[in-house]
Amino acid sequence: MFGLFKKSKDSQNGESTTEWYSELQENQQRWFAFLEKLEAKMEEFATAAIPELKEIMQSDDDIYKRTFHRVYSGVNGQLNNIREKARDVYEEKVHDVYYNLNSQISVLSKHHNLLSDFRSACSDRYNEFENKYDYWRKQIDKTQERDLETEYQKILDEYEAIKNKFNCTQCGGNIVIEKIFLIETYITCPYCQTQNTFAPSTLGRNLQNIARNLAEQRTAHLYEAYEAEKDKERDLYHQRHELSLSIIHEKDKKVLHEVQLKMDDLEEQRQFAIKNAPKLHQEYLRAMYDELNKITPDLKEHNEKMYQNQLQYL
Amino acid sequence: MFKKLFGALTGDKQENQNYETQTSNDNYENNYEDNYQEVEYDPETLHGTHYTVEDFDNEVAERAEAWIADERASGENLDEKDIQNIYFNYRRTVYTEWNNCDSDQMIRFEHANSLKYTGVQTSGFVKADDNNPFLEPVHGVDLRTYTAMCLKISAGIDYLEVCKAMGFEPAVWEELNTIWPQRMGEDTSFTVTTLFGQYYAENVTVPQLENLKAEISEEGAANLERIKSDRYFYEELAGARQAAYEYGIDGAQWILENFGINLADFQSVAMQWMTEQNQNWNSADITEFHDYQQQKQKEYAAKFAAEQGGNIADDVNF
Amino acid sequence: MEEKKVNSFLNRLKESAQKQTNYGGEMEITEAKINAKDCPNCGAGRAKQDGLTHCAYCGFEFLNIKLTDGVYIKKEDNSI
Repeated sequence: MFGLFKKSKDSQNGESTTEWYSELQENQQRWFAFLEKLEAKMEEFATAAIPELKEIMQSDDDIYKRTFHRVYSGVNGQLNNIREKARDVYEEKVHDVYYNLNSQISVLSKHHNLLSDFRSACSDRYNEFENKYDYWRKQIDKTQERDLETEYQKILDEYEAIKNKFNCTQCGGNIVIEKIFLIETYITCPYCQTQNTFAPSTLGRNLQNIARNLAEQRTAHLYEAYEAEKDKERDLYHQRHELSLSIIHEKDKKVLHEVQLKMDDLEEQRQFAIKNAPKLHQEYLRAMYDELNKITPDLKEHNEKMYQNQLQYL
Repeated sequence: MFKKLFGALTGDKQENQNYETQTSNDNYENNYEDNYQEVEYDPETLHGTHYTVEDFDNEVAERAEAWIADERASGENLDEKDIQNIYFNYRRTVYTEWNNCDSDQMIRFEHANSLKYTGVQTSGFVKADDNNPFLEPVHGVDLRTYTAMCLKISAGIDYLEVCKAMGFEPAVWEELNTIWPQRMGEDTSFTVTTLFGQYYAENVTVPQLENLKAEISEEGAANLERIKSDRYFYEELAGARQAAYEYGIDGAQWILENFGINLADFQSVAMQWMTEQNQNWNSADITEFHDYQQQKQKEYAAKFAAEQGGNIADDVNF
Repeated sequence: MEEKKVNSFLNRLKESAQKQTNYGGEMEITEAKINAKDCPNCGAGRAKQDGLTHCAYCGFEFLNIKLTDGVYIKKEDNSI
């Protein structure tokens, strides 16, 4: 940024840049300050909201946690409001200003770089802001995590407590509920063969709703291994790219050869990662669906079809 | 014959004008003297009627395979996705060339043929096929009937009443409400989902349910009629609903309390507008309505913000 | 002063969210129940071997549909 000041001194004998240049400087300074204030607001708000959200998740006894979701939406709404404010100002004070001046100042003019530097400095700073926004959104998203193991245990405990407590409405014989039924169903009395209807409790019915997330939670480590392999591929790509840039003007044959060997090795590793990632993905999916089948065995047929479908998109 | 007429064309608009150099067929000569002569489109496939679909598919395949061969010869590795992309782009090129049409018409064509060319359905263009295993009735209840039941229940009618009217027990409804959504998840062409959406948009009903009416106030009924016919009013409410969620308010409940329209009716109208948009794709209209909704969303957001004491970043200015 | 604004906004958001009616009403938390439907025509119960759709004694129609293989209900549950 300080390079700009130096250039403006040199251009004394060139075109008069003072007017538009000082507008650019002022915009840039104000833009940086503006973003800093917005970022401080985001941080302050998110830091206060996150513990509140966690508390509401605990205390909301609605089975769909609808009060939590309303607050969650409202919190994200504010973050979005901040993000849009930044975007609107960028449009007006950076983007439009750049394009206005760009149409007046030739690209060949030796002062055009002041204009492009202005835009890239502001745009880079904007990216930093966007990264911070993403970070806080991610933190807020985490508050959605429910303690599914505890919820699942409650369902299992309730089942154990009630499975022997029912009697046939016709003959009074004891009917054992053989498994956790997910929906209302017909159960035959083993003594008189009468069809009774069994209506599961609200908790029992909710098992279907938490099953997938629970299975994903239990196999999250496998998913992370898959994501790590994908990141590794990108990282190897960039490493190799950096090396290839470093030898652009290299004349020494020995150095060239060494670097080329390194590049080949990185490429080999990268190709391996490309082949390995889908394998890890499949490993995760199989493990996750196995968990899902354990939690809701009555839906196994459907689950297997979904697994097969997902394999097509590996 | 048709291939000869266009064989020499490379998509260059200049060549299009050189009719004297083309071999002619009397039927077509007059059509092409005027460059902007209306092309007749088949109502189902939206292909121009002056060529066969087979010719079209062959032309696309010819160009695509030539490109693919070139790429492979120069060492490029092409996977399934790349190949699909190449075909996708050539379909657009050939369609636009052969029909001399704008991009809106091309997109309508894509929607009408989305199942054939991409394996995925588009709302407004789905046809119910009796042989589709995904559409087989569940416990004798087909998708259309299931949708009719869903509509009544989302409108606020007790599911037990709906079951009684249909003549079966709640256990059966619960199986329907499990299996139909399962089918939607399993069908990778999205036929079940899209068809459900179309039925929802049509607000389908079956004779058994005709007498079950959800309670709706006079104001609600009037507003409902209005969002069905006045697109701007619909977009205003859609924007308001979005704004409500952003301020921690349940949008569906807010619409019900302030305009008397229940969620099922609102969703049904939303689907109607979307389906119509697909069938009559017009990018200028789409942009206008999108911008209008955004503008309304901002207006309502300001109102909600005022009720909360303003936005937290109101005091931060450039 | 800044902090006050953030906290007061959050509190208002919370209060408003808690006060609101859930669309579709409150979820009733129910216990598991068992029941049986007797034939409204002749009072007989339904036995497993007689199927779910019709009363074996008087033919009354419990379910006016043809059952297929579902989650728990199977084709075999159709009365003859």
